Amino acid sequence: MTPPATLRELSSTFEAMRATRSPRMKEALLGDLLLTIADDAEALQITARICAGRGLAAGDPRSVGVGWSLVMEVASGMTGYPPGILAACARATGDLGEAIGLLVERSPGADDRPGLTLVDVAALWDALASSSRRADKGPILFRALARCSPIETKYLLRSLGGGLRVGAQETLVLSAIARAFDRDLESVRWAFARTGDAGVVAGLARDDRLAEASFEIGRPAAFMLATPLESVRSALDPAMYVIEDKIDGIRAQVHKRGDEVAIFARGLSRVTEQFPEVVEAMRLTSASGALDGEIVAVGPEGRPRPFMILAERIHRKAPTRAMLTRVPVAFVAYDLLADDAGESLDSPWTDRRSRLERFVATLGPSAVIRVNPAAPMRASDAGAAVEVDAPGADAEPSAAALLPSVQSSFRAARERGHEGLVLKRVDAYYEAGRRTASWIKVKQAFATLDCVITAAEEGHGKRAGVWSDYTFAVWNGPELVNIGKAYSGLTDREIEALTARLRKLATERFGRAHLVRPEVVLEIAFDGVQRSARHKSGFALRFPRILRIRDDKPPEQADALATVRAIFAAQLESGHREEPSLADLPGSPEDPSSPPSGAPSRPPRSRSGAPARPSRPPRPAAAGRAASPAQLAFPFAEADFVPRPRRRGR
Amino acid sequence: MIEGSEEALAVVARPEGLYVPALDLFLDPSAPVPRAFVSHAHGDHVAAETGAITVSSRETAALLAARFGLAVSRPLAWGEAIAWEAPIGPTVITLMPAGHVLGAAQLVADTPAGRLVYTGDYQSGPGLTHAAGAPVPCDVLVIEATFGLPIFRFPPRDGVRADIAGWCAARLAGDEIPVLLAYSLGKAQELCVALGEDGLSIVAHGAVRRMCAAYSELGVRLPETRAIVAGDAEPGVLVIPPWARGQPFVKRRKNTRIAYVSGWARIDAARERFDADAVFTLSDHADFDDLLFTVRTSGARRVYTTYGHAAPFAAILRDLGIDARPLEAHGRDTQEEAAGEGIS
Repeated sequence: MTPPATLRELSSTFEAMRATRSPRMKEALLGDLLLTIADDAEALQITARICAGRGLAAGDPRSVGVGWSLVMEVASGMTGYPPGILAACARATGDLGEAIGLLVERSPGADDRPGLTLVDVAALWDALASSSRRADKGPILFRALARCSPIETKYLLRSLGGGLRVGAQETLVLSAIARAFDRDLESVRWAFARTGDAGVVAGLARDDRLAEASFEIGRPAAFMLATPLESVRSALDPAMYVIEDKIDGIRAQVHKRGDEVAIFARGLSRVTEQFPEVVEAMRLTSASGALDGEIVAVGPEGRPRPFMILAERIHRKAPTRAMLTRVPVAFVAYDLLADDAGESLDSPWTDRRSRLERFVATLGPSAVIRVNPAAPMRASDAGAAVEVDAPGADAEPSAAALLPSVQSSFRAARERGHEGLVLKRVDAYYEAGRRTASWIKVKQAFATLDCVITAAEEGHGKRAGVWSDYTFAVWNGPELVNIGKAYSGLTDREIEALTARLRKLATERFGRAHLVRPEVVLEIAFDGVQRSARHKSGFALRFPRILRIRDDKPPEQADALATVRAIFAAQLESGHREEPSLADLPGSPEDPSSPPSGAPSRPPRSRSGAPARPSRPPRPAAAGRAASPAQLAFPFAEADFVPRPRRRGR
Repeated sequence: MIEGSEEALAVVARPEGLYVPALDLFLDPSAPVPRAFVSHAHGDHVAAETGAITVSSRETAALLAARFGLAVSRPLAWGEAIAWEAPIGPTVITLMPAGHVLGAAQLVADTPAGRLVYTGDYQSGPGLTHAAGAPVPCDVLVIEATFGLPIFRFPPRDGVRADIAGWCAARLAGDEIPVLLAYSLGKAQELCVALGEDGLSIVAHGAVRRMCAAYSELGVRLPETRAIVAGDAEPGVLVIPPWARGQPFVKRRKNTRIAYVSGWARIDAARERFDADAVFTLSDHADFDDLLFTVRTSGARRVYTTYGHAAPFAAILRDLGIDARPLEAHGRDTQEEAAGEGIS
């Protein structure tokens, strides 16, 4: 029998991963480890989970509750240094686990400690999650750490604290799993999007059972994401789309089974306790289901209120009664992932839509749970605009050319207080975890970018002492590349709060500037994109300003450089340095063809009059591309965007 | 020392820098003042102008002239005693080696109230290119605390130097270009000696070569270095200051492998920050244990800590029963190499 897989092996792998700059090499190192420990099913599972960021099962509502102060208390007892010194050490390293690991090096015999097996680590996660009192967690953690060598200490604490800092984010873990067990990466991703659990996926990959990965109520699936209109570069058929308002709230899945209700936000984090009114409303039905939609703050007549107001409800474990009255929320559902008939990810939108409406009907009339109205694109908008804009009879209009045709809907949506529109393809299945052209979002001509703060600078004058200038970045593959700097848009109070947060994330200081761990996402508005040698991204934003802090978004879901490239290319194509705003486009606000409310009862028909053909749901190995409808080749993949030549006739 | 007389030798933080009222003397001021001691020639310890009375070691005086064109009115040889006109009464000043880099000096002031020592940037033990630093017994000690946290424990220097040379040789054998990021004054010369001893050929950045020349003029034997020339195909180890990491002559070359050499390499973030393939923990500062050893050996009854982790280090000393207080050095960047060439 092979000896059990150990935390020491895992930690050495992490150290090796940290020591290389190459994502390929990181993937190979992790893949090798996964293969080495594959016989130990529990070790494989906990390893994959830890690498993906959380050592518990995806549907597990518990949390380990190992916060800064608990670790400080335990570490202080272990090392003999008071918390103030530990905090100073953590500031110097930028990481508490690393600091404590370095301090443990000073203890005689620390290298010869027995260590933990990975099964022990899984048991530790479980024990910590099961103990609700801090007084119990402390001794549990202490006993585990007492057996850890310095390097194990570092990575055990990092894994419990939520940041390994070795470049092992979700995508890398998935490719390492694919590599270790020689499976197709698409299949692995497909399985992950449905299970949300890297540990489960690793087991399935090992046993060659990825195709069995299934969505379950209570376990969040990865959200299907919309592509910005600017990035859609091929023709699309308006008859195959419906239009919905784009709700500016918190994207959420609401799961219900029996009396259990769980709410998951982006990043699959659990936010159930923050929205008790949604939980209550969902309990009014005996049916089971998993809905996808948006939580939004609402005013007296149900009108959406700005995101900033909703922000008050985030970041609190549970809202006060006063807050529930002051900032009531609604859940606006627009998709259904499962109901009593089973999972529906592989069904076309029209199917899911009618199941969604049936499910919501079982709740009875509710102000809290609503269905987002959807209207057929053709019926609601001037089809003539599409014809006029179409360059030739043989080609369908490009997405950009459709802009004028959805303009009246866009304006109507804005008047209703929404951010814009989402165009949804009626025959598309639910492409979990994908940013897909089956959903196209129309915000402003140049909407906004979600960027991650990588550095902050102390301000001058009135803003002396606070960190008011922020350098932000977008993703280029696994790497963050800076794209700009902004210092306007936030209130003094927001800056103060952000300063306090960033101080904790600071890793290094250079004069007035501080590098910070990339954890805070900003939504940045700007007037255009230009090429620039100043930033590593190769682009700069014109007049960037901060719209808001996107606390609902984990940093991994900030925008990618490819999106910036696409916006830049669209800008060039439009023949302008700056894209005209929608307001400048033809059409008037008095346009009579305002969109009807309510959803279509059956799918709109395609141009030829034939019924819309549902796209086949993907299967592993054929996931993604093969599923895209023939008329709409996937024009845009984040990783491999290549600007296309300009269309003829422009 | 007279009971309670440490108050007579109090040190205070002024906007211009640390100041000793009893001596009417600034220690490494960041702004021009009439009477100053400059401990060594790193940019973060030097003001834009020197005042009428400026004390430093002879080597530091020469390096200040070469580097910044600054004049020193009272350059001193090691152990050379001068009478110092001080408010507290008859005082003698001498300089003792502080390790760190060539010329780095500790100020030793013998006053009627006892002896005050200021370490400047400091490291005990021998160096390859400079005199060995050692604790000086005193009553009041002003000590740097750049690495004044218990996480900073550095491995033995000769072992690290051997590792660096070995890493460079392995890169060269694999047809790669090893690039060492090292501060141009001090660390770079130490590396040149270590590489030269292993027979490795060295290509150095202009900033490094200027300092090598200044060292040579002061009698330090260094191996030959070649200048960076476009099209130079002869293999060699590239030694450049950290700020040059992103410059075209590095970026343009294929097959480069970057190593960052610093005490900060002790923490993981260093590798990410310099986008380095390798990091080596080799510092010209004292680590935590060295600082503690120096404080204890000095026998000082009062200790002032300054630079870097002054506050936590003072707290740790107080826990050990030592009367220690942190002094904030205004206008100083607190990190090794940060205010000078370390930052692009």
